Amino acid sequence: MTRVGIRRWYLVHKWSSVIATLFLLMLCVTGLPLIFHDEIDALTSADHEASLAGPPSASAGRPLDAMLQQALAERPGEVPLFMAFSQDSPLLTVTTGPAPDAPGEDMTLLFLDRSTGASLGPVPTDGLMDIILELHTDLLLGLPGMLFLGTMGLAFVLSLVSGAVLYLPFMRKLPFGTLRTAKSQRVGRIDQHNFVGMVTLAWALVIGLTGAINAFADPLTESWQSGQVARMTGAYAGEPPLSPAQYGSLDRAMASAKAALPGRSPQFIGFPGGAWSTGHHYAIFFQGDRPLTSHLLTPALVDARTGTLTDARDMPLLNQALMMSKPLHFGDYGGLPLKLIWTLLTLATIWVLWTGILLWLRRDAGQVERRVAEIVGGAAQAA
Amino acid sequence: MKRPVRVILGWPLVLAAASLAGLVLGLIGDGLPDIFSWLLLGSLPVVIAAQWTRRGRSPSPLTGQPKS
Repeated sequence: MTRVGIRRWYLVHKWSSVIATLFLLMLCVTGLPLIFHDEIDALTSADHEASLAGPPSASAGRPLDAMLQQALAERPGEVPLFMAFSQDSPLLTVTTGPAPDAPGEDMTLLFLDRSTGASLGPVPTDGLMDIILELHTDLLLGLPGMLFLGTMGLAFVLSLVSGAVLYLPFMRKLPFGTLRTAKSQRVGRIDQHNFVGMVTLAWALVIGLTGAINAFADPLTESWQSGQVARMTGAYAGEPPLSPAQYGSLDRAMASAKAALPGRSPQFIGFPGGAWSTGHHYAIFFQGDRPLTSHLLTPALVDARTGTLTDARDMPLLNQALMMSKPLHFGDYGGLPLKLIWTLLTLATIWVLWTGILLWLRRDAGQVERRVAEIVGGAAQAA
Repeated sequence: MKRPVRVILGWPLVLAAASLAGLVLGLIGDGLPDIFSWLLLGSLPVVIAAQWTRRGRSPSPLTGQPKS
């Protein structure tokens, strides 16, 4: 690579890192407890998934219509928004709100036991974990915060790529894993930054990219709704949206959907008028039937009044990428050992960010040219 | 002593391949794939810890070359 090229990549690495590092440190620190959200939730509230006996609510139990009535009786005057199923226990979650298009903060989540029909009350909230999750998702700023953090995620990816590009000329005279901590403090920090950054590079790239995709979840869902869903339900385009009094049987709708997607297990139902359906349909989302595809959802759109299937289609590629991004970002898909590894890799990333900050703060005048010369010449002359 | 590109990128590429394989294997299923996923991704912190305990010593255990 030419000196000019290296200088360019050096500046890209420096500025993409300088802009994003503080936010990335916040994301790493808030991400650490979130890795263990299942364990923390189980500690702080009743663990219904473990204590309820019976078949999973996704496959069997009391009629869905009866469960919905039970939930709505607890929230008089409200309308149903979502019904979510468990693949492991009879736990059933119903979300209600004052109107079909109610925003998240007005929604109420209710737990029910589908095998006994019993009501388990509102979903307990854990104030601290909720705040940590919100900070991590959107800085408590809603959609603008989400998009901002998504952009920081993309800056992180840029700094990882540019860092890897600079690694090549820098390491021309040094073996992999060189840690010259006995030399000057600065040389020691550079080696740690390069070595730890390079070992965790692929993992960090995946976390950065999947995090950025997750940050654009809302616009991606909207584009699915206004694109593919609108095409699937073109026949309904002129009709006024259904009122909750016109909603027909959920059980009949579920039967039609299962006939269209046999062997698949339902994960949740989006009710008419919300962000996950149309004004006229129950959108029933089914998981894939193999482990790898279990994170990919296929919606069946069922006419909410008649219970007949309108259409069932796989979601567009970007929306599928979004669904695969969630487990890959959270690291909660491979048991406790994977979570512990996720923790160690997050700590390693914090160390790379921290040494990067120190290298930037302890710089002195004319440093760009000297750093560039150092990389151009290979690191051996650095000390 | 200049090192060819394939030598410089050898270990980083091996570790990147191990990371990606580990990430995907974890998704594929429970049981054996999960265990391979732990071993592959777990190798990253192990490599960091191993090099850290040997820092400043030579020759480097991963390359057999003397340090500068």
